[in-house]
Amino acid sequence: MMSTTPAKKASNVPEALDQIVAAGEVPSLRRASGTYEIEIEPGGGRWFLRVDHGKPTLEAETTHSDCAIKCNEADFIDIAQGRQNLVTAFMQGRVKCSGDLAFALDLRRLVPVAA
Amino acid sequence: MSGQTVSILEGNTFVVSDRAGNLDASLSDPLGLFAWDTRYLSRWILTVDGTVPNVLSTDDLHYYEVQFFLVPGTGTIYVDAELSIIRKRAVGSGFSEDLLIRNESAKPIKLHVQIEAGADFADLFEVKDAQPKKGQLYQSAHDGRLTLGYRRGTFVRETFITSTAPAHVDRDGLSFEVHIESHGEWSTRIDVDISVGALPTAVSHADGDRPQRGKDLSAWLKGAPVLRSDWEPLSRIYTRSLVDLAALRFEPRVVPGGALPAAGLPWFMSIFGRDSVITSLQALPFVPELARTTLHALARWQGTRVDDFRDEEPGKILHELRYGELSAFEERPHSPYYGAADATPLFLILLDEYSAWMADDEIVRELELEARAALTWIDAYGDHNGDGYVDYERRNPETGLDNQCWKDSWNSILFADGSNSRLPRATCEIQGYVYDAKMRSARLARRVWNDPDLANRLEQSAADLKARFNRDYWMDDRGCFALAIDGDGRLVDSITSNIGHLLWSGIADEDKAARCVELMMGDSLWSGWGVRTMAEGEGGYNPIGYHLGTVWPHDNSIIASGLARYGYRKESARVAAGVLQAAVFFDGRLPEAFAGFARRLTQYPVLYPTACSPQAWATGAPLMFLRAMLGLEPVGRKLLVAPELPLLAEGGGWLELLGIPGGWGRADAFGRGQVEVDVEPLETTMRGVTSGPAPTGHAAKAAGVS
Repeated sequence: MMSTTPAKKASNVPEALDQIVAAGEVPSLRRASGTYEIEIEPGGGRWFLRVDHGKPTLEAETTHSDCAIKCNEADFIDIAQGRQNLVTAFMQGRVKCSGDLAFALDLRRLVPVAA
Repeated sequence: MSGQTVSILEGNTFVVSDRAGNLDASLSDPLGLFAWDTRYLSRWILTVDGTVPNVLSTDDLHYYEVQFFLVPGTGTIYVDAELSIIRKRAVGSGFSEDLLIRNESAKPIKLHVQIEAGADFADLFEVKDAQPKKGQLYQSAHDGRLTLGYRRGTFVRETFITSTAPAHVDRDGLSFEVHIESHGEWSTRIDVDISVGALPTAVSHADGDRPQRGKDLSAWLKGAPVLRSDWEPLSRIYTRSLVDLAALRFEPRVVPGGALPAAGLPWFMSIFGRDSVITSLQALPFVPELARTTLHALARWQGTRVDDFRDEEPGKILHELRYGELSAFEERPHSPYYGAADATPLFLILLDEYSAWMADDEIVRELELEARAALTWIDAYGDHNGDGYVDYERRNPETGLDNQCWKDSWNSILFADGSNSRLPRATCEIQGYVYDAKMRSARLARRVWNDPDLANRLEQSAADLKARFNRDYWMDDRGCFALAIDGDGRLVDSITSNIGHLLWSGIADEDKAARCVELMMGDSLWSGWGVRTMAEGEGGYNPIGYHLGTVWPHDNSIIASGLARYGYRKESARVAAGVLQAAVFFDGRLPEAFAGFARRLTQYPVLYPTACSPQAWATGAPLMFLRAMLGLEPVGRKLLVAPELPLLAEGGGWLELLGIPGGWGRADAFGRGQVEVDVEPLETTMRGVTSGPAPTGHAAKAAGVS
């Protein structure tokens, strides 16, 4: 359902996102398409992760995002690499999600199993 | 105070107060305003001139609204009160309270009116513990607004209290200096709103949208089929079930605009895999939209990985989702918790049943990946010890569930000598669900997914399972299926109601099913009101043991459907008649369970005290009985009606269900009583009652139907 290979520890957000993209298509998301807008606070930058029928790609910009995710850099890297549960980070208030919450939940399928 | 509480709710926000409307939470009385599994108010006490008024009466107008009538003084009914106090409370994202004080005397009066307010922000899991909080509580009063808060790192929960009348606000509450002329009145509205951190609330106002919600309830009732019967209690039971189902609707954030049945009011207002699926199945012929939302929500939360803490595995359907502090900080595994071995096959059963009932293939296409993942879970993860049967053994030994079947108390899976079985346990009904899920999925694969190879494999696998099951679980010496095979490979040999589920799923061979029917209709399992969870005479039998001899209405509704499936319509009607007669004693609202004492012994069904009322699958039980009695089955885009109604001394001669929704649009079903069932006439039973609950005629009012 997702990469079962624990990811090499990423040192920054682009590296973590690159690993998600490199893992390729997620079969269980073949019916899912949309764009995550990832904003790293404070002032850490903004990325757009596009999912096209389960295949993730990074985009330089977008006209429409389906789900905005805001958090700090360390939390995002931990979530993206499967070390931090997305749902509990959200419940704790460490991550803010707006827009399509069902699509936000799909992010769980993109990230690898924790190392 | 226990047993004297009043609950109102909207979604997963609820207020449990005493009968005067006050909240004074203690370990024995977990009162409060709760939302998102957190207590936002633990103290809310009205005083007038320093004393707590006494309650005259309490009216629960609707499931989301209640009114308290109070007077000051000692409560002596011979003293005329000169003040009357009315508190009207409606729940939304928080709640609003309209407070009205009337001066009934000939003189003007001055009063000091105070609301003491406090919040402990306890997680729902800790309201009965005295655990110290790990974060900091705080209070502030500014510009007429009282803020009560709790912070643990980035986890912040806050309660905001304001009033329309000018108030003195401090950290402990609000107070008003009130002057009321003779025969005059004073009023204020107090709003209690909440902040859930990052979580979006369901409605934006403290009391939601009251007029709209009233219309919504009316629309809900109008959208359901109309029932007419010459047995008057049946209409009341039916209406009560529909209203309670409306109250139990929970809007999952991941399916905007949809509602699914939560498990129970008030403590289980959350998504539960097993409870939500079974209630959706029960309610399918009446309010099919619940099933649709349940399927989509559970699909979204389907397991994606092996996670020991949450008992999560890829493809597994969740057991329970919670949002409180303990879940957020992973001190409890409910984010969500996946400790249920039956929810995954039940999900597949609901998918097929919903598709068949609504003639809706689109949802089968939409959820194909999730359905295939669920099938993969059954074969790849469901069987821990490789014996060919789906079993359970928790991955999380600290906070995971010991028993991950519907009988989820720790001591439910006992040998006939009363000793406990060992893990992993493969309970018999789960094998039935797996068989049914594979047979149904084979139909979906062939008809919708255009995958005949998968269909063939599933049918072969199901046939193999059925053959092995009938060989391995059958106990020749007891003439019954075993309750389970345990971790030592032993047959758990108690005789239980689980055998009824085997008929519902179709896994039992015909000859063995006949023997199961005999047992269920015999004195050891049949109490006179329903089939007991465990047979009298077993070592673990206890008529007031949670899963060890009590009668569960939802269990019996599944049993009645199973009996009907195998052609035992008379026995099915008998089960339906017994439990529906019992409902009369509970004012039309069936409890989660009642005691398994023999009917001839107690004369009335003895209530088993449980935390929640209504409980979703008990609420759905009468609906499933109606389907079984009328023999409602979808056949393509047509509704097949084959009624076999119980003939009762007090009625039941005819039954009409008009406007049944389904793939045919709307259809009507008519039935006349044809089946002589061996249940005692209700009037005979009631004449013998010398104590205990008496049936009343207020069900419709209490249910808020106007």
